[in-house]
Amino acid sequence: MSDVNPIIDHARALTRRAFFGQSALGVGAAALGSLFTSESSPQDPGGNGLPGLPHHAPKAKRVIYLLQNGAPSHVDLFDWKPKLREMHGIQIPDEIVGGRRFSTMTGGQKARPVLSEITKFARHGESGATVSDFLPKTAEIADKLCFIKSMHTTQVNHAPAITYFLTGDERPGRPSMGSWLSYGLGRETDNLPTFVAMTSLDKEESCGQIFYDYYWGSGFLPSVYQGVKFRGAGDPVLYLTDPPGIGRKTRRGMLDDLAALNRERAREVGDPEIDTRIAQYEMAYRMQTSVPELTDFSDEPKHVLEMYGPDVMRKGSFAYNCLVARRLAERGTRFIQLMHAGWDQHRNLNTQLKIQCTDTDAPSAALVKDLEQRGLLDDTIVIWGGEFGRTPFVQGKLGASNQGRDHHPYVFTIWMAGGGIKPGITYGESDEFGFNVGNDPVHVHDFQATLLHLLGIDHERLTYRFQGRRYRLTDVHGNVVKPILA
Amino acid sequence: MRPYQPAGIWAEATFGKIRYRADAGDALYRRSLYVFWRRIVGPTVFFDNGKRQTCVVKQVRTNSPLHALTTLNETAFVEAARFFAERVLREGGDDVAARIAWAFRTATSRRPSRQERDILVARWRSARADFARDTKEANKLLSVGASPRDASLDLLDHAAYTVVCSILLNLDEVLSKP
Repeated sequence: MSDVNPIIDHARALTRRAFFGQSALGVGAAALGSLFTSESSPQDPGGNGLPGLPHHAPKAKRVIYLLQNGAPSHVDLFDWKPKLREMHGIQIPDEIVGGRRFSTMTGGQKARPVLSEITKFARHGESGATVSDFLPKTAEIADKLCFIKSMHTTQVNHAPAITYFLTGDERPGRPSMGSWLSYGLGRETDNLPTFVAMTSLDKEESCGQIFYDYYWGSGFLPSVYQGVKFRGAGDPVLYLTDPPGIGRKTRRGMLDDLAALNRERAREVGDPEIDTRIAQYEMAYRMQTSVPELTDFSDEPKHVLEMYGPDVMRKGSFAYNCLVARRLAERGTRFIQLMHAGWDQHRNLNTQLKIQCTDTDAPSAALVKDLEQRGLLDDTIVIWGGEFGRTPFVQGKLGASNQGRDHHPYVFTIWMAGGGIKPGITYGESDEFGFNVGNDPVHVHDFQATLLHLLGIDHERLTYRFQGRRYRLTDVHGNVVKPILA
Repeated sequence: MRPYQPAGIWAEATFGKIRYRADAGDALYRRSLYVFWRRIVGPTVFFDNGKRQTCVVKQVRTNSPLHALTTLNETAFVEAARFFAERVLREGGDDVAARIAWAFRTATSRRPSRQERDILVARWRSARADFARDTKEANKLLSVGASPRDASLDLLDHAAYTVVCSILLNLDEVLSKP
């Protein structure tokens, strides 16, 4: 791919035009010209990936990222800290807080009494993973999961923290992970997009963070690598349906003519972008068939639908999106970014967390089991996690009817499963309050480096030159977390 | 101005708090320079534009299936083809070959080769024959968009030229060349 450098691009275009403009040079020049274009420009951007990639044999081919927008409470779901129960209502010690800063919502709060976990924990499976009873289905598959309990980030607010996870930087404008992968590895299917994003809301729509479209944006990478947002209503893909009055036969004929006319033009001017356009119009035509087929669940057995829970047929629900994610994975989509809002329980932890868990627990677990039953879990990575955790102390007044926890970037838990990841382990630890990392810290950039590693990419070598320097997903940071690799 | 937009785009991005309402009347046909931007979810019909997140020196040319679906199927693009077809019937001359040549030149700023013209003439004939078998489809196509069609024009001619004009407006040469 070309650098986004106007001077170099201009020079290139000039060369090519000048070349073909000089008809006096005749056949020899034309032959040389076609040699030149086929070597310097890929015929199908977005299709082939970069030469030399993957850097090493990949363990996984695709990723399903179940991003829990709003930040699930690690100390109520996975990170069981008996100390919280013991110290419930007592001010969290200063030496633990260590002058850490919090969001403006609790930044000025002087009283920070510890809030005990709001439900019961137990150990599950042979691995003895700690999962609370709000997530019974997740607990059942604990031996298939790898819990990372020492995640930490630098961002304390939602949008910057999500952007950090997805793009490696807290500011909008960098390519998201799915775009990096599409750019580096190309696509596996000609019928569906390589990078798909889907969003869903908690039923109460109680504490929604907006889904900015740069969460699946391609930043400075060419827009062919940006995520395709599947919508929760109407056509899953914008403008998928032919206009009224244009039947399939007419559409096919129009595309044949377009291809013939464009091909003629490509022959004349030698611009490989025209061949790309022909290919993209054909892919658009195939998507008109493949997308409706993708979202038609009539071929799914009853027991599979039941596994995903009661919302599975409701378009745009988390459960529906999870099943679409599996169907996309089967059909060759490389990066599926599924975002679910509603975890931001500042003042409704005691009432809303359980509801939120009920809506997401079965579909998340079903997805892992379903992938496994189809033999897809071996080369698919599933990630479940938010952008940060929640404070072990209370936000607001203890015992109030509307209590909760504030944003907490200093330690939190995510889980991963599938291709190349050790199942049934817990990696890293928080301190006894679930406040700071205890040991084996995993930073966001480490997580990203690990993910790329599993897909066969050295995160230090996948770069793109923009505004005079090379950029990468992990900036100048990131270490592969080797102990979680299978 | 607020152009056509499929239902639910703003609602989905704002948790149902803000709903989109397209303009009506003349405002719909103002240049896209005046299109209203919502920061969290930009207009759905723009490509090759700055995303308004970082400074951009030079835009990358979009070349994706989504772009193709938009320029083939989006209401304003189909409506534009309809009106282009009206002009072809009024200004393009008297016979099919002349009209197609006029349309081609208007869209690309050059005359079609014989081969290019023949492809489009054949499409026009075939589309016209299809619409003659099912005039309801012709009426449907010519009802896309908010503006009424000029009913004095022959229905089948108008619909068949709309198909040809949609092809022309989707040529690489027309979409992305200076």
